[in-house]
Amino acid sequence: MSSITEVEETLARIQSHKGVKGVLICTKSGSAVRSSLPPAETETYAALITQLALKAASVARTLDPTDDLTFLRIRSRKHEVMVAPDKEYLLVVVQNPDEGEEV
Amino acid sequence: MAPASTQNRSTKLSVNAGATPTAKGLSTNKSLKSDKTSLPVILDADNVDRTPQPLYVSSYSLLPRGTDAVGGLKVGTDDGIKFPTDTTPLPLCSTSPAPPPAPLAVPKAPVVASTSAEEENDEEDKHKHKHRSHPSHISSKAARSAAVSEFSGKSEDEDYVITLTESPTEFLVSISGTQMSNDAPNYYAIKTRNEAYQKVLDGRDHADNLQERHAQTVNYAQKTKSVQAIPCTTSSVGCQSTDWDIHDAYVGGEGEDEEIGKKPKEVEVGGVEKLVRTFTSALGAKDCLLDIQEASSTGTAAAAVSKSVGTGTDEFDDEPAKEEETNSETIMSKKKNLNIMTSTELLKSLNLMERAVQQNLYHDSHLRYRNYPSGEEALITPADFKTSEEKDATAEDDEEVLDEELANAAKRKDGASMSKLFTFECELSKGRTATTMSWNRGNKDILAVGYGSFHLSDMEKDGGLVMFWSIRNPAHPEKIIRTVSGVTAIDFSTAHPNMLAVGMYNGTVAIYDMRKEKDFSVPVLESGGMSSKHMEPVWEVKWVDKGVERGESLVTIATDGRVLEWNMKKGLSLTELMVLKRIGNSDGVISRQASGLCLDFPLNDTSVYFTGTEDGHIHRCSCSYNEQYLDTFSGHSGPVYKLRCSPFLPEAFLSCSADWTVKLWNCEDTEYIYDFHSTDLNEVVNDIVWSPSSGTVFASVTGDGRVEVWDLEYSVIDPKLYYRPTKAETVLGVTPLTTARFSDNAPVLATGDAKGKVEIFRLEGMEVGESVDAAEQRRRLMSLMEPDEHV
Repeated sequence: MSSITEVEETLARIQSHKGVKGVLICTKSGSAVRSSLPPAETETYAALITQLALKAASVARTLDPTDDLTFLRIRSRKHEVMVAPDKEYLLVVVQNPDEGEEV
Repeated sequence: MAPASTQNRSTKLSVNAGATPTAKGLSTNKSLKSDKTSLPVILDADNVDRTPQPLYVSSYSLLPRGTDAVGGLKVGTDDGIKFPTDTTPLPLCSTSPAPPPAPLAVPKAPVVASTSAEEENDEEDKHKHKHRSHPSHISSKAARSAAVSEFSGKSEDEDYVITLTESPTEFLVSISGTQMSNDAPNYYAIKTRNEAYQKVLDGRDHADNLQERHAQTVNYAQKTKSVQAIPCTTSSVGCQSTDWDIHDAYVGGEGEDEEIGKKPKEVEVGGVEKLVRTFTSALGAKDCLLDIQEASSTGTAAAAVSKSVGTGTDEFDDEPAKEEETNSETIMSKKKNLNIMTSTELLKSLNLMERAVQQNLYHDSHLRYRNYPSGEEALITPADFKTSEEKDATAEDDEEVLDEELANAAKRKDGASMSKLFTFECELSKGRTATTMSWNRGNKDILAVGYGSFHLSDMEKDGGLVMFWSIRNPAHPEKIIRTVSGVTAIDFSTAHPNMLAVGMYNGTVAIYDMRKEKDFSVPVLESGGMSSKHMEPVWEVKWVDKGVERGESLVTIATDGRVLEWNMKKGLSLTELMVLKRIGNSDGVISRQASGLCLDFPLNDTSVYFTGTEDGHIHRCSCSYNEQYLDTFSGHSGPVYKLRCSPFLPEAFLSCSADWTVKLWNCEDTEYIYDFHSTDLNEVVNDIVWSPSSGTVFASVTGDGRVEVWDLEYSVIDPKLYYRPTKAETVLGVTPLTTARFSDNAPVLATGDAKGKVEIFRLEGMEVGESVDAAEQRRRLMSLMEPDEHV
């Protein structure tokens, strides 16, 4: 068990990076544990991403049952959604990569 | 049914054995059994044989009268019944004599053929016992002879023994007649009986003892009763059967095989949900003793659940049942959330995520670090296929574009340049001096940076830091070690890349193990309690591999002028290699010992080492001889801050000093070969480092924030590349650069400064050809060091 302060620190750090719109931790059933997004968006993201992550994990595992999904990235024109799934929770970060690009 | 044999048919129609033709028809023998002695022969009045002949006569049925034609003949038994008969087909009325034998031959042909075949096959069998269930047979001599004549090479005289047996009689239908003859034995009995019966029949109408009665059965009243069955409650359950679902159920889930010894886990379907529901309802029950926190306060989740008597029940008494459930669900969810937030997996996921976020931001820099073509270079454009003239034109355009991008770099015609790639900096490191750095030998992307101070300062009471940086996350180090005192020297071990030796400002030497999961900041070994440890800042720690028997040991040098060798075999033990003595005039000096500031071992030689002192002297010493120096090199007029032996040529070494110069020496010569001093440099040179890829290249960092990359082949007067802080950066004061390291696996140079910033510079155009190997480097350096060739 890691201390909650470490987790909080890292969370705060990620949120402070360039271009990061929000960070969301939700359960597999779609209820949010921690979120830096407004509530409406939180719910939307939670609902949509859990389904997508489930499907993606199903794909990875169907192709090889011993394999598992470790990371999922969806890049669109405006944003990039990064999902780190786990057994009990889902960690979602929404970032705008163009904002933060350095030369 | 007359056998063809007995041609002596009488014309009288007589039936033997007492059978007289009556009005009721001809009587027949009930038994059809063959009895040669009592064969019915029907003769008419004129004694003409009128015995009915069988309608169908097979030409082979040469049965005696009475023989069952159905059973067929068994030819070849041992009865040896000879059957010298002719094979003429029987006419219906047995009048005609022998019919022509022609039809006989035809149907016989196949049989004969087979017979012949068989006979030919066993010529040796003189007995000629032929078992055949086929009714075909040969019986008459005439036929035989006819048949024999068709054989090839068979004599007529050979007898064929044909045995005929009768198969048992099978009654298929037996319909006894209702007629009987007057001559039957029980004629009278039956006749009497018939008459009696007839009498009964006649007297039936008027008989007294005939009564007719009727009776009616009771018809019970019928009642209809129906029952409706309750239909079974049906519920639909669906699931998507996927490959991995099956795999999980069978194998027991990911990563749990090791725990449970490879037994498939018995997962109760819906067990977890049941548990949750039970627990939820238990929490919602009135007697629940668990304290329920207000839903609004999320706060420090550690205080979410605490035991208290009575509070639970009070809350629930007034609330309707539905809210009870909600509350307990809230508790459950809060507990779950707390679990999630404190899980190690979440921390790992966050780290991973942070790296992914940083990757988005630093992607181009990463590519350049790894020496992948990026940006314009990466595109395979039609430019690659243009003709040479067009190529030149576009090449110049590219150069201009590059020029604009690399503002701070010194751009040269041959493409060599250096530019900033990353800046490793975080909150913790701000304000501290980066005193020393070391790339990890195992994972060459990890850079360990030690933070401390060169002088006694306020920061010393905060202790020191060692931070492990990776390009994956330039904003935060992978790991942080806090030390008691400022860090002044670090070195990664080569034999055990997870061991890090740290020398500190208070003289402590500590060894850390990178692989430790917990208590990472606790050193594995520390020199804290040892009596003869260093008492003054340790300026250099170096791992030296002394071979298989002695293992790897640590050599350190400190301001107290002692060179100590540390051994890790049984805890930490030290031996004093050397005490640096002052040479020269020792009058008016506080101590006879010189302060050692730097230390280095030449390539492949672990018995000799060089040290530099505060006096400006460089000494060559031997590990086994601790009394005197082997050699002394004088030339510097200020303290020698750093001493570095060439990684290619063991005899060559560089030294940098506070006298603003860098000098190149050959250990065979007590005079330096070259003196490197940029003309406008007025500051100390803090660090020098040889390039691991090119034998003639080295870098130096100075106190005015300058980075200079020298190439001996290019020039000994001016550096090939340099980086100077811009005017904007020097407004607030110059930040001295304190340390520099080349990377082994990437064309970068890392520099640390006194404000805690670590910069990664990308060097372009400094690569040597791949065909240049170590020997070649040596040769190049050697040739350059020959003083005769250069003025």
